Amino acid sequence: MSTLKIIKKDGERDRYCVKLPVFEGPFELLFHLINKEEVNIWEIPLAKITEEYLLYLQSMQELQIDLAGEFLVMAASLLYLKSQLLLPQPPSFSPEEEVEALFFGSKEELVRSLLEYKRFKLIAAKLKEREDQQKRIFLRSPALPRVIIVNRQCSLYPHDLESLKDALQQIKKKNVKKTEMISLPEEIPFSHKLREIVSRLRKKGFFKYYLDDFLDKKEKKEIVLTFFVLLELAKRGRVSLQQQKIFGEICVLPLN
Amino acid sequence: MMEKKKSGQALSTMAILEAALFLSHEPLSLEKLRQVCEVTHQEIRESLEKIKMELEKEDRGLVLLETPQGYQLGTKPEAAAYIERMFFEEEYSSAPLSRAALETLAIIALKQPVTRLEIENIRGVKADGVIDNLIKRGLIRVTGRREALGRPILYGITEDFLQYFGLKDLAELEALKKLWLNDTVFPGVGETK
Repeated sequence: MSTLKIIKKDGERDRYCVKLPVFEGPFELLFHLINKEEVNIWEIPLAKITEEYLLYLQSMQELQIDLAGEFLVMAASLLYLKSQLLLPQPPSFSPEEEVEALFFGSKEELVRSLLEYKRFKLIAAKLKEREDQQKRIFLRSPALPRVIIVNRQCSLYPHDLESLKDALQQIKKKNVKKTEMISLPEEIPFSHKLREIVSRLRKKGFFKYYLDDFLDKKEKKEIVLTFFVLLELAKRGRVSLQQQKIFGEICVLPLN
Repeated sequence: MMEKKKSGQALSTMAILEAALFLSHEPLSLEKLRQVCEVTHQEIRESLEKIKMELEKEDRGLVLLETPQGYQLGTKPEAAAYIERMFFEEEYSSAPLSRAALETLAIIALKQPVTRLEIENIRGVKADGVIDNLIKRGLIRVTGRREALGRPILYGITEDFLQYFGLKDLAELEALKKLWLNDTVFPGVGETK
């Protein structure tokens, strides 16, 4: 991670060019500042670190980066600690109530929180290594083996007269309602939808999707277009399509 | 080890397993392999171990993976660049987890079952967004509620978590956890950088 850099550009009317590393949270920022000092974590120069911390918040504000509340809580916690160390404590002082909203009430607690945070940061890095390793292992994708498994229970056609009648009635019902003309839409071009679906599949990784997941407006046109796009993707071997029963939900499985 | 099979062909258990693993696109369970090969669990395990060792040789391109659902063949990580060039137009990778997600997972894996507040206290950052995402990705799940004030929801890891990080079972995670904890013991002194 790069360090905080404030570079003053000469002759540009005190305009500052500030490069700020992005911190996930106040602990990460604090941790970074302490690391930069290269000190024993038990001997944190509180005054100096607090000052640097506040300086950082200031530059964030100057850059009009939205400051998350937690960063301010950390600032308050640090200032509280500093004040505690500077002022003599009245004998009746009981800090519990005041401290509750802060991250820590004593330097010892601060160090403990930092060490705890550091522990999980290191473990996260170890998980990351495993993740990287796993991502580099490729498995056989379901499309490759040329074995077609026929589900004997699933027939394309209804068997008996009764279900045939039901099916016919269903179609009739649909026809009465839907007289709208369907033509392939020009507003949402094919390639546009294709790119959209591909990027969606890529971003989310390997999950199971349903046709409906790719619809925004749920118009008939869009459904038809999406269906065509999915067929095209299946043809190219990018997804596998499954339908348990006729007119059932179409399940989309991305392939690697 | 020679086995008489129905087809009359003599083939070792190791060879049968290799054939089955080669063709399968999903993990094969020990039980299923045993039934098909008609030998003991012990023999299956030994044969799998042999396959694993055989594949570790430098001139083999596959690895035997042990997942919570069973065994599966994959390509060696070292071959990744070539596989990508061969089968994918551009560099292939599904989105990796963010730093926030990894840190949150680390906390949940070690402390489960754990509440959202406990996670937030360690990281100093709100965790609801990250938790939602991890649940959607199927890496964590709600395991119950703590019988305490407000009955906060408890989170734990899933089988998919194990699979995602290449772990066979919870026992393997436990062993790893011990290692991690040893690696992250910070003595009171000498904490520089």
